[in-house]
Amino acid sequence: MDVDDVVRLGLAAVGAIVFVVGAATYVVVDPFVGFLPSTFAVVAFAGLVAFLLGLWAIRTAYRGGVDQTAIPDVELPRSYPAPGSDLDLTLYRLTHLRQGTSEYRDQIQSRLAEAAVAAIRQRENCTRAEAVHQLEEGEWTENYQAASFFAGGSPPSQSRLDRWLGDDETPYEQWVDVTVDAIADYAGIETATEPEAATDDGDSGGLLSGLRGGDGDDGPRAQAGYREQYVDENAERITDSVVYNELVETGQWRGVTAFALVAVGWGVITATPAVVLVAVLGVAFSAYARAAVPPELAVLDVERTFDESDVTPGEVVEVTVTVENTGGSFVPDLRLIDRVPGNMRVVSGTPRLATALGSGDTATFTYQVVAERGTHEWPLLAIGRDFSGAVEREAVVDVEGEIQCVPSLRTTAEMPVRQQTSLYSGQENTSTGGSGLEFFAVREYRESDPMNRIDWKRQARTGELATIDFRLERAASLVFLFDARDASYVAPEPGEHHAVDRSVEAAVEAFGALSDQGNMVGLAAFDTVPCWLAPSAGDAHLERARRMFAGHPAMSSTPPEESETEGHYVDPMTHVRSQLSPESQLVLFSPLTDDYTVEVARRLDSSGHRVTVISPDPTADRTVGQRLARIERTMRVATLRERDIRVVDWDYDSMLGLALDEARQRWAV
Amino acid sequence: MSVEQEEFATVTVDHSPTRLSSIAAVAAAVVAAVTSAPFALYAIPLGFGGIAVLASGLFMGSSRLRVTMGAAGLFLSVLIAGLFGTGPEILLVSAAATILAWNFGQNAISLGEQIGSSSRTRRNEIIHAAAATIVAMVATGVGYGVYLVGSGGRPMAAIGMLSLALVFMIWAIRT
Repeated sequence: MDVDDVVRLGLAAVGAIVFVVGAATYVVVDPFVGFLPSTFAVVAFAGLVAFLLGLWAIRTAYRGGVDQTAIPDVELPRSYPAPGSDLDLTLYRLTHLRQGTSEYRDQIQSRLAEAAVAAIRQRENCTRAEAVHQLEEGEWTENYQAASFFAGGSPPSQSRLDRWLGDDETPYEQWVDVTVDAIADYAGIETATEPEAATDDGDSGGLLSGLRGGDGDDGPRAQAGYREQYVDENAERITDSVVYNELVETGQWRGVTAFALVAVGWGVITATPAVVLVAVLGVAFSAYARAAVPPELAVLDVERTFDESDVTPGEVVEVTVTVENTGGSFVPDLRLIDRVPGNMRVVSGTPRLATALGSGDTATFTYQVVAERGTHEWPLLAIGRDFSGAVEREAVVDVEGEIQCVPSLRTTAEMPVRQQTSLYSGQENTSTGGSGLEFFAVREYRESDPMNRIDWKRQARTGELATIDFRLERAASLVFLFDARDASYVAPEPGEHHAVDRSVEAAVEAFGALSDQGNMVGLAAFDTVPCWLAPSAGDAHLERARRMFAGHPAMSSTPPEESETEGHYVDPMTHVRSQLSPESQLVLFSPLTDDYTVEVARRLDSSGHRVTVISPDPTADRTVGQRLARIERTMRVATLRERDIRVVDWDYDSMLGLALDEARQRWAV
Repeated sequence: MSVEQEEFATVTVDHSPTRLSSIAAVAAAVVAAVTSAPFALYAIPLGFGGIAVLASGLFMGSSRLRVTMGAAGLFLSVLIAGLFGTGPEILLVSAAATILAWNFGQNAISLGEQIGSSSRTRRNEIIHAAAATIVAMVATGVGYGVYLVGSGGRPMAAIGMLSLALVFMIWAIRT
């Protein structure tokens, strides 16, 4: 029992005593009237106190507001940030929240400088020292503001008119903006033509809006949540499948006490008993709210069925949820929300229901989702309230039954294979002669050359023996390596598939075609979870690969949890390279959002494995950070190409086949 | 991929207040205004203005603040009507309707936010509204009964004690 309860109990006791005295005076007037103060002053005092307390209660009610469990929009696919949102966040913290001024300034400055140096080296083809020199001298651009950014200048002053016109960009933000645009311009990268119009306006991503929404915004909002949270810190496990979150006092009736007090005060002061009488309603509803008992939700029996539980990505699945109240009591207010997994979209019906369930009653709702890759099993949120709605209990109910969504390997994208093959025969042309189909060369006869390859015509003409070499066709051994680190869970637009999903979609398309041509394809990923499937061929191997695409945690379509990523990445350099056979070539799927992947590609390349990078481009150009991320990525692609690593720069909107065709044309030259 | 996405559009999620409770709230607000505003000139703008503000909080966007402001307007209208000597029966009905309008509006918004107005919520809304209405009716009945029994010239000391007791009790059960 806390202090508040004790005070309330004391007040109630005092009130009861005073009431008994008053009632007694009312009925048996004589003995009491003598010693009780018999003036209007007491009444007026009570009225005044009531009125003031009433005003106080209004204030608390206004401050307290209404609280209830915020429900994310489970119907929509989860949104992932666009690359560069970290810079936006840093910039926002620096300029709007005024945190870590010098530290953040240094961070921003050095990131911009890195991008600018890379751009200068790329264009001028000079050493790093020369590029740094150019940058410091400000020779690289004609834009003096941008030039002064790296030359120790100060932000351009903002005219009073601008500020008055409500331009809420601070001078520093504008400065960064101008500089990033200058670098983009210098490096010849397209960004939004009218950046001013395209920036910030409500589109700066869930990250910033989440940050801004923190202050003074009433009412729950849909979580633009990056991570799925089912249970809060103080959750309590009730049964094997049910977890209760902390009770929420909704405060829906907050203010009804003020109603009663103001009525009493007003009625007493103006001497109108009818108005005092009105307070009885306020008292009744206060009591109604206080008497609230949160309903038991562990008694709910939830069953979820699917019209089909073994599907391929993109198929529509109908989900039916049935909830039965197996307990003995009535649940007067029950709100059910099916927590559809983050990557699935609801396309018809709704996964929510509000109802009341008597003992033994059932409620059913049906909706349709588009299935996505993976094995899915998800909980149901049940929110129960009592009659008055004053207390709310949220339960997370684990429901049995899962959907298996396994991609089928397609042969739609023909992936060009590099000149590194295995010892097994296949269909990849090599630059060596031997037995095969296509004419390659004629060479001198050597002993033990097969008789059918001897050029008999030449022998008839000149009398010399010569052997025809055909182009040797060999199978390539490829390993698809996925960059499935946290940094790859990015998408250009909120609600789009993230880059890891994109990579797997591409791999699924290429896998079938490659193995049809007799190549051996393996899978690996660098992530917290080791993931390795050695290159091989055959139906069993294809099936294994399919299962891995669908269910391997390293390639999962939900990002790794924070706790899992702490500290230890499996380093692909040691982990993957130790298993790679020397003749294997690598196809690296990565959005190239940081330098780590570039480093990996370079190391693998220099250790003798040919590397092809297939990189879905997740960058956007709505904010400064996103534009900088685009510049950085373009520079990374250029660096890789310089090192003779093939990069397929795959535009997010186009089909993989087109990107591969374009790339093939470039490589053919 | 992109082709498949165009075939099935994702449903839109409508978080506006649920319809049934919103209509019930406005109906209760009308009852509250009609039973209070006509009895005093000053109460007319508060009463009918209260309906308008409350309805705008439910049908033009979703705003708890406007619903509460509307209910507060209705409540002031009741107080003013009381000041001008309106009978206790009518005042009780009017006050009950005010509280119900406020609560139905709150419930409509709450359901809209958590469940959305495109999902089935009817059963929930009816039961919530019925329970609140029963509480209001019982409270009105009991209050009126006490009023009938207790009216008449009584000593000031008793009224003073009872008023104080009322204040203590209300503060003890404050929400």
